[in-house]
Amino acid sequence: MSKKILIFFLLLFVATVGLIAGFWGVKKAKPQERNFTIEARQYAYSPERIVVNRGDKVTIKLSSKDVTHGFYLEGHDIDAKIRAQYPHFWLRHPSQSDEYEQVDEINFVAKKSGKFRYRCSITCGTFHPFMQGELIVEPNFLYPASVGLVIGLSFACLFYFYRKET
Amino acid sequence: MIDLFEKIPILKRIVTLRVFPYLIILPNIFFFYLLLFAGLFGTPVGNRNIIVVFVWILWWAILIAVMVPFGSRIWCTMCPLPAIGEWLQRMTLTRVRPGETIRGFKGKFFGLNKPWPKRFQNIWLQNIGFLILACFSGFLVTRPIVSVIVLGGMIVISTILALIYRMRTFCMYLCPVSGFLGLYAMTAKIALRRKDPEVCKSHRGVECYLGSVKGYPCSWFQNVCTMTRNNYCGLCFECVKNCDAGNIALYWRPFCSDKEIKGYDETWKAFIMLGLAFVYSVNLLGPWGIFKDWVNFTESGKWLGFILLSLAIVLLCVAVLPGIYWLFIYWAKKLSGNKEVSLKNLFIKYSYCLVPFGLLAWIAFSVPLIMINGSYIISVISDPFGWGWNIFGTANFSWKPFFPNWVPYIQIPLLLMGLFYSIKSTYEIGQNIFSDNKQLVRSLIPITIFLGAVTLVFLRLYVG
Amino acid sequence: MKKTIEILIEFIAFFALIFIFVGLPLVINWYDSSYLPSRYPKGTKIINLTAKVSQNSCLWTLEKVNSFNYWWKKFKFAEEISVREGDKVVFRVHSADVLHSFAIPRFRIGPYEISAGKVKEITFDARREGSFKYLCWLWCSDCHGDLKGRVIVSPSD
Repeated sequence: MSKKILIFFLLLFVATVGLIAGFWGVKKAKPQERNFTIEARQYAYSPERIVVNRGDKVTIKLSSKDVTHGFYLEGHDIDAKIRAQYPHFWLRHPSQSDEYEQVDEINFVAKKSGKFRYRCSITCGTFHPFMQGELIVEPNFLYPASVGLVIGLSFACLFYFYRKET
Repeated sequence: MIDLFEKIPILKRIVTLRVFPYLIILPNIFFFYLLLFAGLFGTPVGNRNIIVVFVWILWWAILIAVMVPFGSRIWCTMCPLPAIGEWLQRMTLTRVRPGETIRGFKGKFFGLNKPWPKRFQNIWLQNIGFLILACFSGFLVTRPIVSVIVLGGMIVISTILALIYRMRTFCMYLCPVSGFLGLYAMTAKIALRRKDPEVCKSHRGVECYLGSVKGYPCSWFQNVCTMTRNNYCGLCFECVKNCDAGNIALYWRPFCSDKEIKGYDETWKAFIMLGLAFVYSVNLLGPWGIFKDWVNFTESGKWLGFILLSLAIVLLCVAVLPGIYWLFIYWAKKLSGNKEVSLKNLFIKYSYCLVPFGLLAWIAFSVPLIMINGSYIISVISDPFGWGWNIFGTANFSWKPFFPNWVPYIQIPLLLMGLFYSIKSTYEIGQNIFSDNKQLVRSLIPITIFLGAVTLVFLRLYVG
Repeated sequence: MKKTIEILIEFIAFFALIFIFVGLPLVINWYDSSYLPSRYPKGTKIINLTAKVSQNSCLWTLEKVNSFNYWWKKFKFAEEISVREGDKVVFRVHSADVLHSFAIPRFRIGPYEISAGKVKEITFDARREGSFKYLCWLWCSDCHGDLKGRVIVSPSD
């Protein structure tokens, strides 16, 4: 078998394993309503990680334990400002406005699946750049797919070297 | 493999200019001076102070993602930290002072010019130094004053060392950056090598190594006639200035061409770098507040946690990771069925498998950092000290991540590429150890499993 | 001839270094102390006020807070800031760590948000004499209550 064809089929194998793993990781669940209260402190959020399913209606209430923090949720056009000792917080949508509006909760539907981090967007002290949490919207297709790619690539490499004549 | 000096003749003309490294070091002296000023007199808020933003967000990302894989140790060519020491040694900025201060070498040197003690002529000191810095890395990247202490300290130490020891002793044996630059430079696409071995054989004199009227001896103690790896070549191009026969080429070559690890010090560096990529991904880029509290112990008060964490980091890099790797090496030897191959030799030679993956894991760590926090670069150039300046009008550019949704699509291919090159390189190394291809591939299976497992750990952290 | 050029280049190289070592702090100092203040109307009084809240000791200070002294210096609390009636004043309000706000309610100034590491410039005319409270208006940290002082406007003679 010519080298180029072998490599092509190996790559195809790797990609297939990846895709299968990705789809296998897909769980189908009925959309629910989810409520979360996230408390920000220097320098982490609590809870640190929240998991929802695609299609869920998510409601998030934010509070701060000590100083003013931000809450910038990747991929959802959400940026909030949270002040300590205050029952409300402020929300803006970065693509639409620079101004914040006072709100009591954030509501959105988890339309996109994947891993989205929420980060602090207001300098709150020394470790501010590393202050972040994770929102997982299942099915997090990329994760099992990349695991599949790793397994497929490993097998493909070993097979290719096995077939090589010294 | 192309010789860049032949492809781009102006390149050779530039590096043979006596004024050459000085010309590119000068802007960096300016920047470092500015950064040190900012670190002392600027705002204590890290992300608004140019020293933290430029060094730990901008320079670090460019170094690990561009300079090392494409340019080998090109940073060392332009590094301002040892420059003052070197200029004091040579008592000149751009000229060559003829004389014979060091026995056997050409060139007049100021200072004591002692040889570095033989027992420290390895990178163990750099390994230790880098681990210590890593434990305090939380402070290093968030507090401008700590960056001043470390970078300023490196300038002071390298200058003092330059007056006591020979040439670039600091760079070779003490600089923490040099430790990993040397290891990862093995993957680099450029390499300075001698062209035709016959020319060197019939050439009387070793000007490239010992110096001549045209140039100083190699400050890195490397003999380019016999140099086969990038590890300790600081790309100062002094040898190119010295070589009468023009027998030195700057090759552009495939990624991961240098594959030989020579010794436990380099092996342990590979463990330390991989372990730290994991540790930083957990502590700094992870969501877990407890680790940040421990890392930030002067503010959180959790000094006990800090001690435990530092111990865990050191043990992971120095004992746990090498231990797990050793188990896989033992399995590799058993599986191969080859009884003659030395376990020690396999342990050291195969440890290169951590180099391509380690580098790509570090790039996968650093690229998101600059994408998420790169907007600070834009605001800080207008207000470098946080004093309320607005030189270029961008001081009020607000923080926003650049395309954060692309990050996993960048990290996954990088990790896969690292995995591929690591497996491929280990196979190529094994060809010099195992004569039988089947034995070789069998020995590769445990290594592949080990590398695959490490990749999965990083995947879980980044996209899981 | 060649040697002369070499020596000339060496001199220029050396001069360039000296130029940087001496010039950079001079330029920075000139820009911050002369050029920027000159952009305000003549006679403007510039007051640099910094909020700092580390280790649960909140304070406003008129002293310079920088990356070095922030960690150890015991800053003097700016209990009273003195200006003359009729002065044009520019408050340059800094925050050394977290988000603060600044207001002088009886002059209808503020509340303005002061971001960490950034400076907010507030101009006002000291029209009335008297003693006016200035404070951090919105809750900023545990010792927020300590962040207040007085602006004393004394009569012009």
